[in-house]
Amino acid sequence: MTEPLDHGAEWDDVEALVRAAGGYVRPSEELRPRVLEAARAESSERWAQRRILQVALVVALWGGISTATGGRWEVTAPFSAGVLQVHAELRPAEGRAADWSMVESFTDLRRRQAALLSLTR
Amino acid sequence: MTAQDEFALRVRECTDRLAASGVEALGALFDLTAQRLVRFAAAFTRHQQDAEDAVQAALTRLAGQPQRLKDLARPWAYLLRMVRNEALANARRQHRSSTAASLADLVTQCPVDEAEREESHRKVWAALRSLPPEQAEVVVLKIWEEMTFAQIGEVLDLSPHTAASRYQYAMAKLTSRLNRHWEALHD
Repeated sequence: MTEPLDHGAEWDDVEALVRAAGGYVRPSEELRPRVLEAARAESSERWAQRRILQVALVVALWGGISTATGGRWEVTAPFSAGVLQVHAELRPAEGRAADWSMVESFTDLRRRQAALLSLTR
Repeated sequence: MTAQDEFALRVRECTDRLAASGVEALGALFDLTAQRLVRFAAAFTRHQQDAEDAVQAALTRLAGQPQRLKDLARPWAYLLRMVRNEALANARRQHRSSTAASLADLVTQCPVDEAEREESHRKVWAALRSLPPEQAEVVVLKIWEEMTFAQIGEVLDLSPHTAASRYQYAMAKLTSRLNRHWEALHD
């Protein structure tokens, strides 16, 4: 369809009348705060939903890793080579949980270092 | 650059800000577009409250997913379409008939020194609301939004030909209904 439709002055007058009434209707005073409040509420709700989803994912991931490793942790960085070596030595013999195994590794390493220091004095 | 192009550009800036800053940027988009969106919806819902509900729903939805407008060539056309869809969905939910011809629901503004024009504006709105909604919305987009029939077709999901045809029918009715008033103004 080609534009504009040519109906001459007959439509021009009516179009001018309609155009002049374009600013007559306006939003009510309460619409702005209503819109902003609704948008903020929805935004907060979305944020909360995202957080819940993130926490659920972390818990699921944690559970999956725990199940896969049988409650024992594969320790790498940031521990020193000495700690890792002691930890590796202790691990097969012990049936302890991962966190206690690490504590004992540290304690054992400190004991060995102390023994070495006393020999050198 | 036409006034419409400039307006479309400002809408684009607002929607970009909304995508970057979130809800805090919604106020600027509201201030820029609310009058036009309410005017558009009020013409075919025939209830200002329904029009405002549709605008609120569309802007709230947009604030939650501002990326929707990010890659669009014409975000203003999409925003109009969102408001229209919300209004139609609300109307379906409420089973409300769209026969209200009264203007009592409208929130209007008319400067004191233009009070004599108010009667003319009221006649226009009464005539507009007496049209079938699908014709009224074409008139609003054509005259107030200065869109081409192709652009109107994009907003209303019509062919340009259908949009032009609806405009012709609408103008014939408006001309007939406003004719007497127009003659009286020029006597």
